[in-house]
Amino acid sequence: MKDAARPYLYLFPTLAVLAVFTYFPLARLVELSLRAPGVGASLGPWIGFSGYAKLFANPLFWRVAGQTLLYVFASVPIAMAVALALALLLDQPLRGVGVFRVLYYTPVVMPTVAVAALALWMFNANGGLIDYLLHAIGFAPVPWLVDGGWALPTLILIAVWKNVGYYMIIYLAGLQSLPRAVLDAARLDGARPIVRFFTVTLPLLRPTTFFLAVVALVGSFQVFDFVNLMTQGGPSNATNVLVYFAYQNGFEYFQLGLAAAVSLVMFAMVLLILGAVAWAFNR
Amino acid sequence: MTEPALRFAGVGKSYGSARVLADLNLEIAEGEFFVLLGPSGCGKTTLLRMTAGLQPIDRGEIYLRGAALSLVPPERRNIAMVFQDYALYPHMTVYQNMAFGLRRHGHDRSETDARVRRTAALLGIESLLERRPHQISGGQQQRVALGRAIARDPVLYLMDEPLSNLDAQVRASVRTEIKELQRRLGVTTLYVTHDQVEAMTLGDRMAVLNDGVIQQVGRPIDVYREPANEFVARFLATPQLNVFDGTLERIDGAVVVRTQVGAFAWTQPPAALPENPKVRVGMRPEEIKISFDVATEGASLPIRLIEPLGSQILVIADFDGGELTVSVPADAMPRDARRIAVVPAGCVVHLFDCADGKAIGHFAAGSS
Repeated sequence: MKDAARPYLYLFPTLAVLAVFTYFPLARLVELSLRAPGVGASLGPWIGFSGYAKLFANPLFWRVAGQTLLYVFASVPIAMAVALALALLLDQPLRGVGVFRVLYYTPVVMPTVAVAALALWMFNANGGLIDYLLHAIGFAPVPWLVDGGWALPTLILIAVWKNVGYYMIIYLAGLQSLPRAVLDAARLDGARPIVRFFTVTLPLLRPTTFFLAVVALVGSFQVFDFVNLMTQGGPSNATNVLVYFAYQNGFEYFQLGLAAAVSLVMFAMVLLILGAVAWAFNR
Repeated sequence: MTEPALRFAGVGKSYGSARVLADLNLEIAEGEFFVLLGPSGCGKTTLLRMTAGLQPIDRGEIYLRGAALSLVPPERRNIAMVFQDYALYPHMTVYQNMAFGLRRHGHDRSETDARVRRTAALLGIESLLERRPHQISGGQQQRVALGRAIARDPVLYLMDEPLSNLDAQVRASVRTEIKELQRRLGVTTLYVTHDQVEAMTLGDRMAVLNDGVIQQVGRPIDVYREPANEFVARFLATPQLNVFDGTLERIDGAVVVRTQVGAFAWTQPPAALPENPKVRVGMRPEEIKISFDVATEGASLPIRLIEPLGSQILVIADFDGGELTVSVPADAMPRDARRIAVVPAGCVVHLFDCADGKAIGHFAAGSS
């Protein structure tokens, strides 16, 4: 065998697995979105983009897409900012800092079901812990998950709480691999802590921030389990997001073509946003 | 007496039970180029970082132009530091690297611009101003790091082994450059290195540090000529110092030092000599006189190895229980040399106490 061909041979097994489990299903998904529903596992006749047209004509789709974007663009920056702040704190040479690192990381290793159960109890509008505490300091109770205006922010809050530990660990690793001498040089150059953070630390953390932004954006777009476990998209679709919407269409209303179209539109949105993020970071 | 530019008064540092710096006292004059020389782990970088404010002082106080430093944060000390790995801001251009400290210290844009361009011209790096650190060579990066320090016009430069990441040729040229710049600018400089050549060539004065304790302070040439103890003598010798056991013998007012390689006459010994006649004898390879014209085999040593260094040749000869390294001019060595004999007269001998290694005396042996 020629040496030039050898690397491609080694790449082939992975590609084959990806083809079977990723690219083929993706192609089927595209096909599904372009054909009418059939009977059982079979597919109906080709209908072109009329499925998409139907989707785009549905105001609920736009609402769900908007809510998804709101969820993503609220939870990701908030969680990343909080994670960075915590990482900066835990990067200090404090006594017992390891204990805090473990405590902040704990929600990450908790199963989502457990977090959801815990959150349901804490945010329960009838005697939940949070309302109890609010009442204790003289505030009116908040209808966290039962009010259309409050439900999505509550979900965002819970997502932040669950994800912040993971982002924090990544940021902490990033902080600890920063060249100390450069930060020392900035101190001697007269940069006070806040200035140092914005002019030196944050730019040096750019690769970490980029990595986290990509991972967090993709992860947040795929939010499903919290919605499914806690609100089922309610009250009256106030917490419905694209993946849950696709799930409802596909597995509750058996509109597989519509569900496929929702998935593909979301796929395009994620690609577009990641492209914009990559562009912004590599400028 | 005028206040020294930098004064260390009983400065100490420990990590847990490990002492890094013993209570250290040192004064550095205004405009002086002072070199701290010592092996790795001797505490020299710690001292530098404490002066910069990057590490707290455990005991004692450091005074900069008479003002105590321990409570002044690094950003307000008006000290510039040049780091071993340059520590340039990788995301900024050379210009921004140099301007950063100036802006932080309150210089306006036009003043900053003027200073950056003046410093860049001084260092010959004007053409690099728009580049980023990863786009220029190590030597250029170190020049930018120097520029960043110089542009600030601080009262003190701290230099932490700034040449050690550079290859040999660039190192020599940047070394010369640093010396010339310091002369020109007249700014007090504390320079840390483990390289004795840097210490000898750069310093107006130097201190040799070992295990957190200052071994000797003085002009490099004085420290070289009269090392205070065996450690200093060993550390300031390349190639390595020859050390062997010897005995002192008084003969008619003079003293003879007997060793396995020869007997050396100390014609003007001090009045007080240690009672113990056993001493350690140190001789530098370049301070030993030898002859290749060997008459008797008994007094000569067989050559084991020669190492040509160019203009000099290192001759390594065996004697009973050790080896002797001698440096001779390349043209002085016959091709067929097999043995050498040490010619005592003119050899420079350093005597150290057997017990504590302290210097007893240094002398050029007379003809006995």
